[in-house]
Amino acid sequence: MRMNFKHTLLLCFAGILLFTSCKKDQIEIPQSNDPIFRADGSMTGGDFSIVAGDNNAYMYTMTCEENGVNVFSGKLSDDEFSIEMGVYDGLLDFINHEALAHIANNVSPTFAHSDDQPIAELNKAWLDDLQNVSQINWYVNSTLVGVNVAYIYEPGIYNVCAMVTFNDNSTIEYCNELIIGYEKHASCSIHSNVNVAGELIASIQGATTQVSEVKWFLDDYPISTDLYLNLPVTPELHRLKAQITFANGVSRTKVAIVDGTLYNRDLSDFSIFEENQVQNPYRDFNVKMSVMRNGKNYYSLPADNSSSMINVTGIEFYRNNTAGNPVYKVSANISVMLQEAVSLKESPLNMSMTFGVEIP
Amino acid sequence: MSWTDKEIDKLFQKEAAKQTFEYNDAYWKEMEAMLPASKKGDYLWFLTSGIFIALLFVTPFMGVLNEGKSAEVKAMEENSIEPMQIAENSINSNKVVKNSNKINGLDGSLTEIKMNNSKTENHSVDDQNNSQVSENKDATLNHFKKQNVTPFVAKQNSSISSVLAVVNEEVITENDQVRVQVESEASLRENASLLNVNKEELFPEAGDVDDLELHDVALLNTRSPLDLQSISYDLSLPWSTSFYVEANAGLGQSLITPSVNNSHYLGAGVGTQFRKGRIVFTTGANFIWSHHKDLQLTRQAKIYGFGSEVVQSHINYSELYRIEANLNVGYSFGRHNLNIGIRPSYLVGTKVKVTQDEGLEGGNRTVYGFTEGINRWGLKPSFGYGFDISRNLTLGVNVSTQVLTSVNEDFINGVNNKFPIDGQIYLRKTLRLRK
Repeated sequence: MRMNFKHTLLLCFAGILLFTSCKKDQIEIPQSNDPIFRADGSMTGGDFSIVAGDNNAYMYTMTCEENGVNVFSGKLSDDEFSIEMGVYDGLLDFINHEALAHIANNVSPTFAHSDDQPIAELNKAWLDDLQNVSQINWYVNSTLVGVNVAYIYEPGIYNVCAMVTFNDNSTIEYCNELIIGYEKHASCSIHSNVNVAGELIASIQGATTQVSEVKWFLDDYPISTDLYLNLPVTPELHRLKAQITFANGVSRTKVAIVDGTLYNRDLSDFSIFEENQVQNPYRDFNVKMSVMRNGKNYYSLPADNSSSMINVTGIEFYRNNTAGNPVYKVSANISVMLQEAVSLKESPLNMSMTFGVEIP
Repeated sequence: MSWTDKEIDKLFQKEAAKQTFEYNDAYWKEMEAMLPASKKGDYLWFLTSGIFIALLFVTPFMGVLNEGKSAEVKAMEENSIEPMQIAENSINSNKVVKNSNKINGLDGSLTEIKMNNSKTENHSVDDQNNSQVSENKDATLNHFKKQNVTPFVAKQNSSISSVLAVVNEEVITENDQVRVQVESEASLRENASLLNVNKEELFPEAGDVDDLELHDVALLNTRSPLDLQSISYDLSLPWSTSFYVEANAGLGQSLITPSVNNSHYLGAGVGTQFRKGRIVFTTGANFIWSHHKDLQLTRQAKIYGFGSEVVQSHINYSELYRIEANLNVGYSFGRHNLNIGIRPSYLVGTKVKVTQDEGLEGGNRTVYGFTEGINRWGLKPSFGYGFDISRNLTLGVNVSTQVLTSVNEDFINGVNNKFPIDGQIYLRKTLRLRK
């Protein structure tokens, strides 16, 4: 078919139209942005300003563990100056809890405080009513902390073990989880005894909240899920463990010693130690701060921060850090007392900051 | 406390040794504000270009209006025996008949001779010319017969034939054969109306063929191409239109400075030529595919996060695609043509090579259609020369300069080159349309 000029023109026009109507790609040219994390304020030694990204300053985010409790932390640091802030976890007795929701809703958190006074006591006498025990070695997180009597100074979740030596030189070790210095939302203890028929009778006693489920273990073997336990046992010492779930979602594990020989070597769980702890303010979701400046370290924990103030003005998700955990950008105005580690002198820190805190 | 020179020097060296600086977009905006406002004079270019374009598009319609007056013109032609006007209409075979009649009617006594050329209406122009030449020859012979100059017919016929042969050759090379042919014939007849030359002098009894040829050639050569009277004369002639296709290539200075690179391009397009006598108006459109090596953008950004990172992006505009109009007016003399005009252009696309630091989306890739760094509109005044290497083929060169800023300096490393010059060579084929 012979093409004439009109066809040629039409083809050219169609080609140009097609060419110009092609999908255009876009190029995302990176743009500079404003600093994300920074702190500006004053303290002993003068004003300061530190910006993550300038002068080798970096915003480190991590979750530390302190006495078995998570501390959601961020540390803004360069070569000469660093500020660290941590938020303690809370609601420790719940199986699952959303720390973020509580942190975000608490616009005026309090500063954590600690001193050199014990907040809990582990005492043989509180377990051994019948004087059948000659000695108890106390282990806290696998560390021997005392014989017959030991003390706990810091809030936390501890695995406390008692190596018990009876008067007949028989021994047994049993361990309980203790929550010290944090609020507990349910409490209870195991009540047990072995009758003359050699039957173990056990139940949950003193529950402050309705118990929804109990799993019984005898010498680490599951034996029952009944609220009341009644079964024959062999004539020897046994560790009776109860995993108790309360209706409000709290879950606790208690371990007691039952004696199947009728020699009355029964020992209760460690609930008594939680109940007798010093009633300091709980540390749930408290804040701590520390500063390193000019080679000196300053801490908020030992200082008197009863009148200090922290005002959270905003909290929002930023992005995951290199560990893959979510990081939240926390903006706050802070006025806090810090104690220098060597001189123990307290000095105020006032600053506004935007910090990154990892909250898994 | 005053600074000592040593302290000042130390402070200076300390600050100068810092490897990083804080990027602040506000600094660039401040610098931008300090720059003199540009592009104020652009409207003059657009105004003059608009007028030029308007003239180019309006004048063909004026030609149409002229065609509407053809009857009147014909009457004037017949009355005044204006050979050049007649010649321009000679593509029409009917006008060839008229021309023949005029030739025969020089003395007003041979009008009864009719050349039935109506059958040749669908013939090509060459055919028409050939038939016209033969008709003219026949008519002239008849004229001599009527004038009882038989003894000289053969010689006279041969001399006319030789003149017409020369003319025909000119016809082929001028690509407007009919016009020039009849123009020469008209020259033969200017004796009667314009030059008051006695027809016996033009067609002497003694058959002075050499005089006849010299006179004819003299008439042709004494018309200077640059003669204003001739130009106005050309403008009074009717329009003829032709279409063409064109391929071109060019080499130009870089669009930015400083640069050691040139740009080169290839193009193809179509257009229309409107001819009025020796004056030729051209309107066309070309697709231009240009290659560049120095249209690069390097963008550095400091991106803050947990720390900060300085990232770089390199964007290289390697190819530009434009639609370029070709609007010019030219003057033909013989095989040669000089023209001036403008070439407005519009950027329709680009080919961009992107290189970005690792970690950024994209990496190394090729992107089409990213036009943010290049100004879409361009305008080039140009002048050129064309040479008809055959009847339908023209080879020419154009020299032009870009008067509008070509690049967005925010996106390109460098500044706009003021009036970059480019040269273009083109090969143009005139299309002969058939219905």
